Amino acid sequence: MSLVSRFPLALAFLLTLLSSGFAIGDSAPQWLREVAAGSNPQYDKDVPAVVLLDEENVTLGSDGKLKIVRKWAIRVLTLEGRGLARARAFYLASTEKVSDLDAWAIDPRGNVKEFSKKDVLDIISDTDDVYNEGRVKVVDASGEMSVGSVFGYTVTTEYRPLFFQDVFQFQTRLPTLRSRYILNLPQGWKAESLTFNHAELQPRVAGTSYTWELGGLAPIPPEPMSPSISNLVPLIAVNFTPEAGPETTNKAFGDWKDVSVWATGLYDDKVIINDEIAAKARELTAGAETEMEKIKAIGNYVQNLQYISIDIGVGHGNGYRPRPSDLVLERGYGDCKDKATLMRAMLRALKIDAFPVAIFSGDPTFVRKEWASPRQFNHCIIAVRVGADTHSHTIVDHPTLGRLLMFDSTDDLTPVGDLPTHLQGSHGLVIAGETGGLVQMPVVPAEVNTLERTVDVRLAENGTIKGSIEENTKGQTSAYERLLFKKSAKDDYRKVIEGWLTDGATAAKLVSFEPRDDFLDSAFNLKVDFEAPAYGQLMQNRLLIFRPAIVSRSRSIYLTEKERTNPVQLESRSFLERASIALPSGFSVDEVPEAVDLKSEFGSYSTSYTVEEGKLLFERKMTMKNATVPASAYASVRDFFSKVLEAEQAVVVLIRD
Amino acid sequence: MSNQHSPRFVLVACLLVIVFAFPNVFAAEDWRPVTPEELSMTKGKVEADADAEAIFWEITVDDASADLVMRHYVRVKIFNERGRDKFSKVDIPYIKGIKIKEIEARVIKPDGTIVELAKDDVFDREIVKGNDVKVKAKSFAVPNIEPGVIVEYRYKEIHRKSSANHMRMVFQRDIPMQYVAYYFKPYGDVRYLTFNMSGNKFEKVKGNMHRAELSNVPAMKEEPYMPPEDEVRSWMLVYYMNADENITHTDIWSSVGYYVAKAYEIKDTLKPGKKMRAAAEEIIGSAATDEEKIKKLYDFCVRRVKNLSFSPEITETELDEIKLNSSDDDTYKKLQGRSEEVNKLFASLADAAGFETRLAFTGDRSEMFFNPRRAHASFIHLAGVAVEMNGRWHYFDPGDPFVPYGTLAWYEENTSVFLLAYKDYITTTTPMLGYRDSKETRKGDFTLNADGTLEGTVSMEYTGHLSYRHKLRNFDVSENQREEFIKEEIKSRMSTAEVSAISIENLNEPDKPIVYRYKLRIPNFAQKTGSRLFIQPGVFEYGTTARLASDSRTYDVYFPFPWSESDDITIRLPEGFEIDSGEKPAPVADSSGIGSLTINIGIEASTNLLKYKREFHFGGGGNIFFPVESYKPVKTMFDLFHKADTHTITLKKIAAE
Repeated sequence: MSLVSRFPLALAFLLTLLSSGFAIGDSAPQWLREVAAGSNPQYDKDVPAVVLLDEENVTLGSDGKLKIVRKWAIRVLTLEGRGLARARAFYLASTEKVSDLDAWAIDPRGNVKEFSKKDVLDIISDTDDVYNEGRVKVVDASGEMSVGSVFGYTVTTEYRPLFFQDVFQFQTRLPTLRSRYILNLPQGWKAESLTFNHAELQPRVAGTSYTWELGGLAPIPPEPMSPSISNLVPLIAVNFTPEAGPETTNKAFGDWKDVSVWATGLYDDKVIINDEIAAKARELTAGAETEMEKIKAIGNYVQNLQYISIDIGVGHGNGYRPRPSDLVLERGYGDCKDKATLMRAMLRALKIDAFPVAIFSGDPTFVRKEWASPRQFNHCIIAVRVGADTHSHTIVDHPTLGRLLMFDSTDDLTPVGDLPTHLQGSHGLVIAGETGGLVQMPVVPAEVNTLERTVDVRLAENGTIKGSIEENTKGQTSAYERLLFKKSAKDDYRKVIEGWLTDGATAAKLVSFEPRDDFLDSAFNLKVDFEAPAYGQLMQNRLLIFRPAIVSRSRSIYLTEKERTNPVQLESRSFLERASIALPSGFSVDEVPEAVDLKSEFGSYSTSYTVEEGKLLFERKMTMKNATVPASAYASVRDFFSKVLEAEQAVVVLIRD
Repeated sequence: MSNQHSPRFVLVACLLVIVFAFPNVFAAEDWRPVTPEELSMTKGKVEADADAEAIFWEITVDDASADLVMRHYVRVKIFNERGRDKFSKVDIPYIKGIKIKEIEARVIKPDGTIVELAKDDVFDREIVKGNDVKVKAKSFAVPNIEPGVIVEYRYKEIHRKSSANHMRMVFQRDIPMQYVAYYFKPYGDVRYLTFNMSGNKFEKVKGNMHRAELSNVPAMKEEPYMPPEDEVRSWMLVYYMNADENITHTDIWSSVGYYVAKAYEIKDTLKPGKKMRAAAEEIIGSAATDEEKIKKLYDFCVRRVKNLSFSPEITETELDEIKLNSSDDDTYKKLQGRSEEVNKLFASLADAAGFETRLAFTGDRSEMFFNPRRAHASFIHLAGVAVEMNGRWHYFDPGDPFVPYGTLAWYEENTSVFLLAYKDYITTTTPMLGYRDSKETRKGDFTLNADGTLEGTVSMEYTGHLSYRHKLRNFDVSENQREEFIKEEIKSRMSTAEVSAISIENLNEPDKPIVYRYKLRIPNFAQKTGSRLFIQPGVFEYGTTARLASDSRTYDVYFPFPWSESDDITIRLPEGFEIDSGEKPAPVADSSGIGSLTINIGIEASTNLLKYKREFHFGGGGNIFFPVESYKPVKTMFDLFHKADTHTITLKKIAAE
């Protein structure tokens, strides 16, 4: 081939490069070129990208500093996958340093774009906090990516760790071809690991260098009602200590008691009882007679203080340290630790002992009892030591501390005597020095977490229904109703009720509604008067049909896919509805649906129909247990909910006499 | 009717006045006294159900010197926890060139006790930091905030070497306000436009200080099918221009037109040279009629010219780096351009072909209802090209391949338009497509099983603005995401539905309607009793809710454009069943022809085939806007539509002989 004929092609190629963000001078590092050169398996078309490499290389210096070099690369598989091409490096402004953040994009033709310092954005990590020194450095390459492009970055972070412990998650929901965690320790140190969600993973060891590695990890599709990602992906928890043992450093923990001792030092001296605190405690409990009444009075005050988080000095351990109780009272706001500490101080002023409890908020299965580490917690609640005369579903018997009443002093929807669903069953650390340790939170029985609905309506000959609905909720079901009520302006709350009312009965008119929040009793009551024209359908002036399940606060089910990969998580709750429907004169019941009676290991559901003195009495009842149903038994859960939905849609047929 | 103006563009320079500079005379004031009435308020004065209410919200805008200085002073009464949550934290964002100073805040309890914000409780946060961007915020938590207190805060905002020109002054916020005022000290002659605050104006209060105020302003709300926010919120736009009352909006538009014509190089476009005339001739070829010629030119621009603004395979960076075309000739030569360049090419070709052609600048009905009497350049944008044929203006937008031929996007229809040439402009109104032009045609061929399962095939076809919406939603996402859109839409109404074999046709065909085809299976679609099956033959309306659920209404009702729907459904009924009651619902229509719904149900006895035909339209006569006073009849109409759409028929088991 002659030079002349090749020239236009070369020129076209040059123009292509110059017209894009991919410059000729840019080059990717060897590791990225290698992973980009490899192929990946075919995935379902809903997989947006594949992780080619996820590597963390951690080195502990003899000066006690950690240096972490992360390498990460993905190949974009769909247009939506472009948005995943982002480099992120979290750091704490006061104690951590992101020294290098280099990123590259390689287009499908092999052209490389190297990102420079000017492409790095430094963003506050939590905009909701009044002050938070957590920050994220980001390179957003999504605008550079096309399907088939590879994006990769390396980032180096340095800091002095609070603990000689680490966690590494081998994948996210994306498929991952290669994932490794490398730990390099000084001479005379050793590492031990625990593996979760995977067969035990042994590291390759070379001197004091350890490497844990996995490859060929399949994508994890998002599925409704499935366990959290932390319970699905392989992960390791690593402790690294001097050969002499963890006791030679105050940055490692042998067991949960060690963690309790360490945390007690951060919490206990912040419980300051001054005159104001004592006076406030006395004022709040002036009318209280029993221990429970006193705890409720204090708890209710503290949980209604404004939640404000000001995170300063987190890298120095302040993320685990509350502010002094006197300051919290003076300012009138605080975060979870501050609130628990103020409550401890107030209770102590009343001679009631209490302990802070470190816990994970959001997923009751997150904390692994096998790994003693404060890194597993993101929240703080309180355990109040109560006497034998105090009774509640949220009391646990501690072998040395006695009866402990668990209470979340931050959650303003859940009173003393109940616990938020996302904490029930979770492991939490009772911070009580040598006597402290890990405790499992109670699970409130289904019969305490209830919705009882009474429907009393009259059906007219033309199909109009008119009447009332009364709902009594308790436990966490009442917390949900309270959330709707407290967080919505009155107009918006009205629209919520109109929404579920018209969802069940077209053109229903909300005549009046009356909510009543019995917060301290963990109960919420709602009365609704309404009317709905043509709810029943008159056919040929002979048949009148209608659905006796007039209100269905949830007409949809989520388990509709035929197959499933992950277990199904169910929460305990119960529901009972009794409906009395006065039938129009001149009509009699021609057909009612068959009664349903479903029973399973995870719950039960039943309906019944009775005709009595011109009224149709309809009852439906459901009880669900806290359960994790394995994927192999998915069909039974799906079938259960399908039959429930079918029963809720069933109709009654009246015929003109 | 259109108005043509003589070519008399007036130079903006003639309208601008000399800048007067005044020293900054506004010094900080003391906190204003709090009245006993304010302390004792327990509910809102403007809105009794308010969570919080501003007693006053005042902003002083001092634009008399080189710097723009704004002082904010806000006093708010907190009534409940929602109000507390809203005002517990104050963030004042600012960017380079702006300084936030003199932040002060305090809380006044109902007993008159005052808690001041400590100076060191104000945090200066760097929200985002990058090469050419830096956003910071001054933040503080309001101490001791709780229901019943008054919160007040104030601060000074200095914009270095900036002015208040084109400033939007907001007189309505998300809480009700007893009094809201802007004090404004301009540097020269100022004009202002008021929106949704009739009769209000700036009045001189002292020296050059002006004040505009409103009392008893309700909070902004959100309602379904409401006009755009700028049409309901009270606000004001100020800008500097000669305040001479003799200068009319026509003069202002003339000035704007002069500059727009220059900026868009309209002279080059509408005075095409030889090359463009030759191009037009070649493209038109043998086309004989005006309509044929324009269609040829349009097709060329849409099909032959690569539209860079609608090319998802081009990355954002690549697009940024592709140079703008130097002229319409350049666009023609390269056969590629951005949306605006494609429109200009079309205009140039049409003009070259001998058509009277202009660029069409309209308002945007999705943002605001444009009224030329309120003149400001920011209210118009290039919407497309107007070509005169048969004495009428016809509109085209080849720059957006999803806008149907011969129309503009829905938000550019039925709005005032400026048709710009390089010497003059014409004002007129753009037409609006009728309901027949934006049509959804749905066909379903189903079989109903005796167990109540419905299954079959579906096609859905969209024309006009409906097609535009669907194409726009789908063009830059993956095939998987397109399928997800369909599945999500169906499952939101029928959670148990199974959707498969999805295909989408004509997504990139400008002239053809977009068509979806898929298979649908819905278990338990029919409700069963012992001897009957009940089905809703309007399968496509199954699971929908009434459009207007709420019984009350604050704002006018507004639909984007008229539309129609046509359903053609066949359902093969299960063997052993016959129709027990199959009458059709009564037609719904209003006397003005605004909306109508007609449903026909027939049975083909020999094949046991149920045939369901539905014809619906809304927006007849171009009626898409309904004052709040007519909410009830509009709601009633939609309730009736919904009732008819969810009409049920009964099948009965054939008795054994």
